[in-house]
Amino acid sequence: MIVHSLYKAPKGLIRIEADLDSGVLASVRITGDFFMVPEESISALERHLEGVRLDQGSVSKAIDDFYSSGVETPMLGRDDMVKAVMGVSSGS
Amino acid sequence: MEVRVVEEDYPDDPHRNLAVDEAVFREVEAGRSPTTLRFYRNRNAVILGCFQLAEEELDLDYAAKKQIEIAKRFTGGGAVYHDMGDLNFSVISKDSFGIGLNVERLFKTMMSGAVASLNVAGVPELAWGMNDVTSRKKKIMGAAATLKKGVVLFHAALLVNTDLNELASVLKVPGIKLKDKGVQTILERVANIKELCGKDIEDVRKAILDGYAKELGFSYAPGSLTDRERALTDRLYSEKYTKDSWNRGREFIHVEDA
Repeated sequence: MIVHSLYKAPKGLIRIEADLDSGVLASVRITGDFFMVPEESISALERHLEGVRLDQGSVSKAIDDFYSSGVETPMLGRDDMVKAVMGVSSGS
Repeated sequence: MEVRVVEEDYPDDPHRNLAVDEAVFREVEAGRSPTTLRFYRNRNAVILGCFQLAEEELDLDYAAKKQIEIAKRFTGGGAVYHDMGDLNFSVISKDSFGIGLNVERLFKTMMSGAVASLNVAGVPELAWGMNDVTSRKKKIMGAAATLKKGVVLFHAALLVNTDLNELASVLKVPGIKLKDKGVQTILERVANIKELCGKDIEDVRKAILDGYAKELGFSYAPGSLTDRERALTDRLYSEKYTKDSWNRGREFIHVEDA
């Protein structure tokens, strides 16, 4: 099932499109007008989320793992990223 | 600090203009090019942030009808519309402002130069956020930036005398974003510097030189692109910036150094 979310962080809009298979994320694509340095890390984040169960704990852990590599998203907290991903379940 | 000023631009080739930014950034990073301030304009183009998808950000049919080019830069942030009434500049610098590897500090430092410039130009009632500047609550400048190994690139688009109706027609801004800014349409959110204080492109260009001199101690020497920068621009242009997968998709393309 293809699911989407549109999340407005205080600074930046995050759109997520993913394939949700029995509650597990697959083929995630993240787009939007945020900043991420290094930029190519976005692909690593997408791959990092694939195979992750769509629940608060699993998604938070995946996002924390991703940020531990030293990626910066100015004015965008990891909580925002978690909320954006969790948004696909509410269909927002 | 002495800064090379590069005026060469390609108004009818936005993809080349963007390839130059990345080429200069990479040559500065490699230690072969000096700190640079570049001015450029595009005749008729939408420039997307690197995490954006063309179909989500602009009216593709309208762009095709009005021959508006679609190009993507290598930094994040949001889509902007460029015509000859919009002045763009890029500052590409070796870290020397205590920015380190902190992207928020990078924005703060480089925005301080931009705001000083707009003050020099006499733009009234300025306010600014991380990457945008408003005058009388309307957006007149948007900026994007990146950083690698202490080398920074900051580029900004200034609405001096842009066709705002065209801007509003081609860009699709989601309702959720406009609502957050307290407006209902894009036209309510943007303004031209020319209307606010009578300044034209040339006045604003001079103000940017003055503002960065004042705020960051820049002094200037006219220059041109190096042969290496030109060669890298050519490769980035053909292998990345003119590719549909880059401009219309959300693929990341890395072009190796020669």
